[in-house]
Amino acid sequence: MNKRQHIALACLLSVAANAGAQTEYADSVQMEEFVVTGTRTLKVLAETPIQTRLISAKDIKESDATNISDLLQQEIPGVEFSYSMSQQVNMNMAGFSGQGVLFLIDGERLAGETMDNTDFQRIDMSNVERIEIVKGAASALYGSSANGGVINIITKDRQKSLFKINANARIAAHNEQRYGGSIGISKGMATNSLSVQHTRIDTYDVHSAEGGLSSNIVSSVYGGRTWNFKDHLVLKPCDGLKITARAGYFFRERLFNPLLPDRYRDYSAGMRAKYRFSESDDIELSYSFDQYDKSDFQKMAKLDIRDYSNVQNIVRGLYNHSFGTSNTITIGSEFMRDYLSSYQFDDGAKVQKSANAFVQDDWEINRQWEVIGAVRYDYFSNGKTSRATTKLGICYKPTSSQTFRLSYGEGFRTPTLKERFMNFDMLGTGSIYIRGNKNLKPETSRNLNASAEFYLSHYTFSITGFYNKVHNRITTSSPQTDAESNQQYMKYMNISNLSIYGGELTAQAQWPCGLGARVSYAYSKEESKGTSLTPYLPARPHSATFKLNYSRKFCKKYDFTATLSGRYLSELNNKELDITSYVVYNIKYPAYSLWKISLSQQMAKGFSLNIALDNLLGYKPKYYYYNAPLTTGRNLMAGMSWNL
Amino acid sequence: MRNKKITNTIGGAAITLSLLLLSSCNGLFDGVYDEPVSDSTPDNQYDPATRRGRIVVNASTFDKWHYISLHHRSVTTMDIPTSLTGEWDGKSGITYHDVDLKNDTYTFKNLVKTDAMPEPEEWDFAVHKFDTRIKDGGAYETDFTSLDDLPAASSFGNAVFSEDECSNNIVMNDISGMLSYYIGYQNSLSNPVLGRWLVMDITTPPPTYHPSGKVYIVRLHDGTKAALHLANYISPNNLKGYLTIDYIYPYE
Repeated sequence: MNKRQHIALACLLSVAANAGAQTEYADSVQMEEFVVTGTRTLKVLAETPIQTRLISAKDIKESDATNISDLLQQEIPGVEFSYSMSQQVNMNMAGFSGQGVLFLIDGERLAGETMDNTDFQRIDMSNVERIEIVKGAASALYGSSANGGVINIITKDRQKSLFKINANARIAAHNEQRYGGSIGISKGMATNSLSVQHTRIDTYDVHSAEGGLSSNIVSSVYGGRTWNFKDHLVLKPCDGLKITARAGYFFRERLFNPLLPDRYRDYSAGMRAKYRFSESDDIELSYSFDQYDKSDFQKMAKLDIRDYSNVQNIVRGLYNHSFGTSNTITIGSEFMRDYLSSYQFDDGAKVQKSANAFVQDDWEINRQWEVIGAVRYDYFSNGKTSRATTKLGICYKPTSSQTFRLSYGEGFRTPTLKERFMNFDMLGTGSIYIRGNKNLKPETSRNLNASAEFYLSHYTFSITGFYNKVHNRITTSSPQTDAESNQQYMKYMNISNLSIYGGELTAQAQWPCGLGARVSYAYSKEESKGTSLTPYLPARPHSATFKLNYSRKFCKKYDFTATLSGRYLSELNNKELDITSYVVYNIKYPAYSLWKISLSQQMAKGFSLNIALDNLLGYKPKYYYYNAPLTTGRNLMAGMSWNL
Repeated sequence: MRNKKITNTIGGAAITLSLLLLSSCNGLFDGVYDEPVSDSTPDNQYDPATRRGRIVVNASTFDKWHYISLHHRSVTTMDIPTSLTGEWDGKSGITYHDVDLKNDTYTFKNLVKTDAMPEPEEWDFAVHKFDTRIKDGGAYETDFTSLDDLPAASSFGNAVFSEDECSNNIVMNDISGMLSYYIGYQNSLSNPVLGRWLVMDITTPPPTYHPSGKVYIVRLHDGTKAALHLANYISPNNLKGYLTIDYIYPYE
């Protein structure tokens, strides 16, 4: 760790310890905050050589979002959550679906997926300190699945008081309820935090107008409930040594079929030890366990039958060495055992072992120029495949108010066990199967990213352009008929080259009077040969997010924050294959915007009251397609929180 | 002292890590879940004292009718004919439609003539997936959801029993074209009221299942009555159409 990083770490701890005393400027414009995802080392946001978008604790608090999907859509243009078959959630970020964007919690992968997307409801937003988003291929640091970007959710692990209690609740339309609580104790070298959250929402119907598509349309939004428990222990037995241990349990029940609800459980645990054994060397060892199960609860017979289990055991080592104050080398290696037992396999559970090693060098040539490069090698036992990836980034800071970045990154996504071995009776009727393909090639991408950021007094502007070339995208074929069995099936396959390019503009301001504003616009365009066969909808070309907030502290016992936020998604014209007629139709999905106003009041004795009106303009889609917001109109939300 | 503290901490962490590694490769907490058991149908149950019984039928496939005799407490399974081996009776066959479920329209495409559906000598009602037939009788849907609460049969003196109806778009047989909604239906009788005990909705894949939960009174061919309740439709291994039927017979 070099001198700059030591200073950064000290600043971070100081910022955390004195969050209340931090200026509004730094907190809102964010450029003095710290990020880790782009380089795997702690860096000041304004100075990190890899462009990183940060959603801060303040943003999270102001959004009052229950889940990560609401928050990302509200904060990041170009991110859209839609639905796929069985009303499973699918994310699209600048042309990459859930399987092409790597989700991490504190740098750790999440086990399990449904329709290629991680279970987004696993993330308890009340536990989140910040979210770091790195768009573009990042496999040279994170390996498989970091094809289109990395979203790293950093949880809270610091506490300034000896004893801390929080209780919170929120209610909204459709009997949506959220209750949470946490207890934190900090004494001597140990800090422990235990949190729990419960959510529930009823099933409700949505009604489309006559004349729309007969498929890919939602008529009932399935309700459900979740429980999320997490314990986090931090030990600092001596100078330079930090040990963290965590354990979590997550439960979700979805009322897709009221008499046969889907159940999802996750058991997670992990331990990480970081030791700085000299001024220029530190080492980190970690172990992570994550088990994601799915089961069907047969209410009539009271049987809870598990039919899916994904177990990931990961051991990782990371070593940093600084050569003087300007050059840091990071060496890392990881071993993962991935076990998958699934109802979609007809010949037993599968295991994949993978190992990798990477090295990164971060060289600050002088105060203006910084270069970062990384190379990584991954090996996968299943199929005996391997992959080498590289990354190169250049950062130029001519003055303290300007940062220019240019980066090239390679990404890949090795075929999953599911995509290789699946043989799934899709409708449960023995009529149509989805078949795996043992000959799948890894999906690869190359990303070029250029950005410029300008900081002027209370204002920050950024402009970004990107180009992704994707090879061998993994998707499913159109329906085919097996000549021997006369059975209809769809098969995983690689499709030809795909280009995704676009850009993003962001302007934000924070004035001393307490007023803040941010506008972000994103453009994304996908170009491929032929008709896309992906079951997921492509990205909308234009999208924007807006935020206007005002905070004022009236007296010691009362402060007030009002936030108006919105997002706009342009219309989407998509060519889709009608499986009945095998004719390609041009389908037009309409543009829409959603606005939300929220008021938060902090009162005496740690009590706060939040009221929000979501979908302020009462927008209702004409047709509830898979990519329409499943809103029935304005939604009044009321919540409270109490801190001791 | 300081070194010992560090050593103990790291040692404890290493032991914990090793234990976790050794125990968790293929997952933990198996005890949280129930174990799937065999899908072989259990013996039928009947208590002469209460006249209550339970029949379990594996009707999970589309190619068979299962004929149930409450008189003999037996189940006879017969395949649906898919070809014509003799002279056509003028009505038996598999009718193919292009199906628009949203607008509930069926466009005739093809008729494959077949032999007549065979029947055993003794039967009272029959099931095919969730479709039903009643031999020379009818069905009445009550508002009761449990046989325990059901009053005497005389309470339903004014009940109107619905008889079977002939159709060519109710009893699915060939679902190989399901994905494109090109479906072959058996030209068959089926009971529109008793069939409501469970509706399979395939409007948006995958299918969803909607049991009514109601008790049905069935008038049999000899004038006796039975009370039927579909207690379950899923096997322990998640087969849909694995029917557990509770009944009272004779129901008086």
